[in-house]
Amino acid sequence: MKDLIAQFGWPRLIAIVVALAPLVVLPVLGTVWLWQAGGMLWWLLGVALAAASGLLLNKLAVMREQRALDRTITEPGAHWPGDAEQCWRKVEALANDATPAEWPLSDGAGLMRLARKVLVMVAGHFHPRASQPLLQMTLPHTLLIVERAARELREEVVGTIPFSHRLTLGTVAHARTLQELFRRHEGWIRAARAVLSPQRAVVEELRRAVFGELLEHGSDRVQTWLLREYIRKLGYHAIELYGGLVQLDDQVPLEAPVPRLAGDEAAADDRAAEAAEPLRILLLGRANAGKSSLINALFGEVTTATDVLPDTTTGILPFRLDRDGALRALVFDTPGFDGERFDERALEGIAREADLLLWVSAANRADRAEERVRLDRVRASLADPTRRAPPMLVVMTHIDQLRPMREWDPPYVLDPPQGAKAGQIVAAMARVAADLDVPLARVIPVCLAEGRTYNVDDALWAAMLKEQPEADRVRLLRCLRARQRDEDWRLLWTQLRSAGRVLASLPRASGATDSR
Amino acid sequence: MNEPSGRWSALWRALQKALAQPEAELEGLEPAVRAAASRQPAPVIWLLGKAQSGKTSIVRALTGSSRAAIGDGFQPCTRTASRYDFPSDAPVVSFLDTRGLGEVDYDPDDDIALCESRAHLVMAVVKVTDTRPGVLLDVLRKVRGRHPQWPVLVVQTCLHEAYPQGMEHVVPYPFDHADWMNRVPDALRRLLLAQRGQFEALPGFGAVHCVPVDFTLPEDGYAPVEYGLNSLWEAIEETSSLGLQARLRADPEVSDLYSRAAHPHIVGYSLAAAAIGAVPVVDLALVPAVQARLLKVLAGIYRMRWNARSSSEFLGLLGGGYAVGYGLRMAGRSVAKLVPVLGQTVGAVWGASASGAMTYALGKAACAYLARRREGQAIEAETLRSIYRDALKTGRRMVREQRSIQRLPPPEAPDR
Repeated sequence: MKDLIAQFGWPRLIAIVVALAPLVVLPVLGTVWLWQAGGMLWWLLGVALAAASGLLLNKLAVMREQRALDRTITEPGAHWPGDAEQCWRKVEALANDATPAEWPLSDGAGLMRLARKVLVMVAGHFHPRASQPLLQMTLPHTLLIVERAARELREEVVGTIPFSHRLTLGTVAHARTLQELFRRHEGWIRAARAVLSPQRAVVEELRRAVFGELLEHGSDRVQTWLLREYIRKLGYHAIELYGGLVQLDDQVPLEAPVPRLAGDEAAADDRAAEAAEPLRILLLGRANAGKSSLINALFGEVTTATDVLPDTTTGILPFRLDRDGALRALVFDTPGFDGERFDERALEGIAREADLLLWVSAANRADRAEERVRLDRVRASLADPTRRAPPMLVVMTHIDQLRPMREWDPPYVLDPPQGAKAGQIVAAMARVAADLDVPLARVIPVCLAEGRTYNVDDALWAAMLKEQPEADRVRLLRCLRARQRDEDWRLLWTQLRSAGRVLASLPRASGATDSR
Repeated sequence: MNEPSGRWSALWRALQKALAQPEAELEGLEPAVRAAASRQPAPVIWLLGKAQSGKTSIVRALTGSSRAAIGDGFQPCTRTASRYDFPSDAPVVSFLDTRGLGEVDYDPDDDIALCESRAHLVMAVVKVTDTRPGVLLDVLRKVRGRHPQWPVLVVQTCLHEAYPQGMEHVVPYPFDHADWMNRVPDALRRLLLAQRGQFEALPGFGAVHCVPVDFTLPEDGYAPVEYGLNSLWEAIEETSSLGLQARLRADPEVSDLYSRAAHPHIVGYSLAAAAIGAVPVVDLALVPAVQARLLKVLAGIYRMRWNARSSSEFLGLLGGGYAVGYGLRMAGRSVAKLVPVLGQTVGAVWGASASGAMTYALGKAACAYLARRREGQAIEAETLRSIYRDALKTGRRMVREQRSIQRLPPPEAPDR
């Protein structure tokens, strides 16, 4: 008080009091007038009404904010493979157990410990044998995690909590201490207020009773949300990095065409102009099952050679498919896997780069044991927990050869089957599904005979479109890996070059290395 | 009617007695027939082919059995194969179906061993559209690796799958002609030739014979239903020395469905009777019992019952003819059997072929008798006797031929 007087000086203080006196007197006079005019009761009623509606509106606003909070929760990456999803479940469990009471947001050291705990857990999941899992991560990687988690959390907080861009963790903590101070001396303050201004005290009491709980609850929720998002964000980026799902250099969009995969000159010509890596569809099946005929049917015109004798297709051939803008894809025709032209290792390589498999099997060939062995081998080579297996459809060809043989009168209603032919088609589908161990819904009956093309444009196309989201996920992961390999190479070259080794050992090759 | 007397009259009475007996009382017949069959097992047709390549259709076309009867008739026999004996009561042929072929690492050793033990024919069944019969070729390579001289009959099935849309079978069957290549569609020609090339490249020097056939169901709409059956029969005769046609197929001129169906049964029982007759010490009352059983089976085929009236009428009509055959053979047999060692062999052969031939002739005569009775007409005794006499000759020839086939040692001793 003395400081205040010393700062302003008596005369100025008196001047302020005199100037403000009418304003101070006004509420008193107004109260007296209300008392005398007998409107006091009405006024109080009005106050109560305003408070109630204010309360209601506030409640609505809080609910909206909370809904927004619930919506704003970090989800696992759609393209993640199985083991990353498994790890994510651990992170979720940790986040759901965390409470602000255990990890106060004001405690910076505590939050660092929490971050370490998340990172160790994720690192331990991906490197179970390392005694120091955290060390499996390079320094730039760790920095990248923290930076990304922090950046995203900031964006989310700004987007969801009102006025949060003015808020710092410090203010949150500060608000908390003020609140606690208030709580400790609450009794005194309320008593004093009641003596000084009885009406205001009534209103304040009401406000405290109703709002206090609500506001406190809300802020607690916000804090909990903040804490759990913190854990989730850290977990997400740690998984992306430890699981090898991210590249350091994220200047290139993820879906950009992958240069290293383009070994196919036929399709590569105008790929440079494309914005996104196309979906890769791989056709597999025994000789003369109808793989090339299927390509011709998919493209709606004769695109590749077909014949009754095997080995018409001598190597893995890519074809570009652009259709209604719905699907942009490279379709790979392969030689029959039961011939000498079939290179098993090449196939496994190409299967690992495929986003959608179409397994072509003839309806009129019952000997599927060998097919099953091949398919199981492909499945085994794709069942790698660190990658997503591409979805597979079985295309059942030659349905016109089923009994009654001379009948060909499409369309056939299959569910429930109407007529003898439809019944035979359904029975053949069930056999194929059982023989190859695939769900019945993934067996698509088609006819590819010349002039009898049936079910390709509708059923098969619809089934392929249905698999597209899953195929897209596989494609994303595939692009990422390809780019990572690329990146590893680039980094290695850069590091080697800066170490001077390349230049020293290959003095003449400097031009070549520069061009990289 | 002149009542037979003397030694063969005992057999005559034995047959009458056997015919009068209810089925269940023919004691000792089943084991005896089975024992005879095991001594001289029916030849085996080893059907090697992938699932649904048309093996059952071939069995159906060769035997005339229904698909259901074939399905029920296949019994597991080796670890990887099952067997269909036809006719089941007195088999003249066994079809061996290799179930294991569909499995990837099928080992044909057991099935090869089974074929080594008796007369057989290796029949590879392959769809004409199967451009990569790899598993089948692997097995055949193994078989021919061990037995380079074994002939292989390749049956190329399901020709219609290679036809252009709406095409019918090329009639008449063109593949017997030298210029067949000009008569069939291009795709079919190339498939057939490519497949033929793959099978002809098999190791070994035994013949590889390829026959294109298409055995469909009447409702499939292809005529004729048994396209290429005659060629298949010819190829079987050409490739093997089984005399399969004599066993399974009545004279091609005989169009009567009943007598066609009856033929393999007659052959089966005749061979069983021959086998029983070949055993020196066996009770010869068994031969009439086998004959009685045959007559009852034949009546069943003609959808009639063999009753006491049939017995007396049939045997009465046959009279002397039956007696002649029986008497002569039995006399020769008893004389030969008096000579030790050599006599036993000669007697056994004589007795065997006599028992077999008589059973055959009885069966053929019974068919004629049953056919007339079915039409509600009577048959002349003289007609029946001439049928019996003719059948006795063919029967004797048939039994001799078939037994000489069966007595052949396995084409080559197993090299194990």
